[in-house]
Amino acid sequence: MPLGVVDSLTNSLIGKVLINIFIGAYLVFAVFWDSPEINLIHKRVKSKLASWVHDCGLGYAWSMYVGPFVTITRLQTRIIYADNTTEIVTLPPRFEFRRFYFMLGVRGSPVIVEDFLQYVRKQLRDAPRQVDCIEIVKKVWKSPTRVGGFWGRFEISQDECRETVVALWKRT
Amino acid sequence: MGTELSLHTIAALWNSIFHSPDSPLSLAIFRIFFGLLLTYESIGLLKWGSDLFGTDGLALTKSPPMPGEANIFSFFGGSDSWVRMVFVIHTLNCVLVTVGLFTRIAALLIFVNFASRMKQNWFVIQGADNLAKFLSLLMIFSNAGALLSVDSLLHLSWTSGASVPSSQWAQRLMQIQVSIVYLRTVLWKLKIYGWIDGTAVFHAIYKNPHYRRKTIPALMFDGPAIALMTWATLLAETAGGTLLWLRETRYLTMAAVVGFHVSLEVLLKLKYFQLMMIVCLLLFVPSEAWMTLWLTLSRGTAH
Repeated sequence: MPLGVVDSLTNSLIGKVLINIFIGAYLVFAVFWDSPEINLIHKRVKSKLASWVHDCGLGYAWSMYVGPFVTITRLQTRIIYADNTTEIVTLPPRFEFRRFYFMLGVRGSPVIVEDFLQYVRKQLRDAPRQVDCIEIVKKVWKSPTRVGGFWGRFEISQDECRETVVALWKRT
Repeated sequence: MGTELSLHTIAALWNSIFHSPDSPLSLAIFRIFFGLLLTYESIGLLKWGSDLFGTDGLALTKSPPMPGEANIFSFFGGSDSWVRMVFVIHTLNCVLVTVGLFTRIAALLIFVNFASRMKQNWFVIQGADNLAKFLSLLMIFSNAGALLSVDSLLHLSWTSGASVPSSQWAQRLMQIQVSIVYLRTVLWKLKIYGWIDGTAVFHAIYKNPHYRRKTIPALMFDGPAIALMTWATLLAETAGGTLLWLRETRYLTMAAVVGFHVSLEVLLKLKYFQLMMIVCLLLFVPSEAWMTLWLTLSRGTAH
């Protein structure tokens, strides 16, 4: 049977060397790319490679639910109709949309937030009621704290948040 | 007289880790479940893919891409119909990996899809997508399609690899990759005080958009209960990154890690992350264990 390139490589000395180089490179990338920068050299190497890694789509991070937990930031998109009623936009009930909305609140630049506003506008093109205004509001809460030390409880005394309009569209 | 370390010793250790001949059976079983999971994920994206990755949708890159920015979604102007087509092709590739037909080519195309998603809209990417990206990259070089596959029935060894015991370096890298996921997240967590003082799980759940229920049960406000859950998370993840490698602790650790992921699934809707991590545990089940199980089951059936 004809063997593929990979199998032919494992049967030759040069192939074995190439495979071992690949293994070594993979391990270095897997261990160090998502690690805290240990020194200036590490930082420089990462910044030099960043664009190449991005261009190849190889970026990654394993810091799932790491924190820090100082504040909670969420977005809310409100529509105000011509009949003066208000509605909160809900995105399709899929993980990716929730994740997008979450990331938009935490990491979204003004340009990306503005793009999202345009996306919402497009979705509302055929809305049965006339839309007067769309506003994207950033809501920031202070994370609740544990009261009474280790044996204590988490208390949410005031569910107050700070609101800022981060993008706005008005019908002219 | 101490033990002397020589280049020969290091080379022998390296070879025993990466190049000891082994059957591809374990990898083939992993391939089937991995393919099934990706197929399930991809079918879900057939409807919403253009919203998430199309330039008329939520894609982060709206302008025509520069040469280095190009990805599979940006071809043909990133139109909705093209993005939909990309996910149809992706679903087909996931099915091909599951049944093991043109395995390496299908794995390559799956890798390209995940790498392109990262470039087109990294806001919607989660850990399981990144893990799938790297596992499919490694699958290209593996002989995952050499057994339990259509490739093996059709004797297409150029696209499936050798079915005889051979170097399983790609599988070893997949295992190391899974361990890195667990250990790296623990190392990041240990940098945040909430994980040390036992409060982090409450914060991870409170106002979390992926939380399954409408309200948080009273137990989750309890300091000691949350501390226990926080430290158990660190313990389970550390075990997932280390004890799976040891024969004596492997299956107990697997049971504990599965329990950990199931409990997370009960609390949070994180697409296929928990399932992906559970499927990855199959990489640590040796081929001999599958053979023993098969022989036991077939003897039982014969009696």
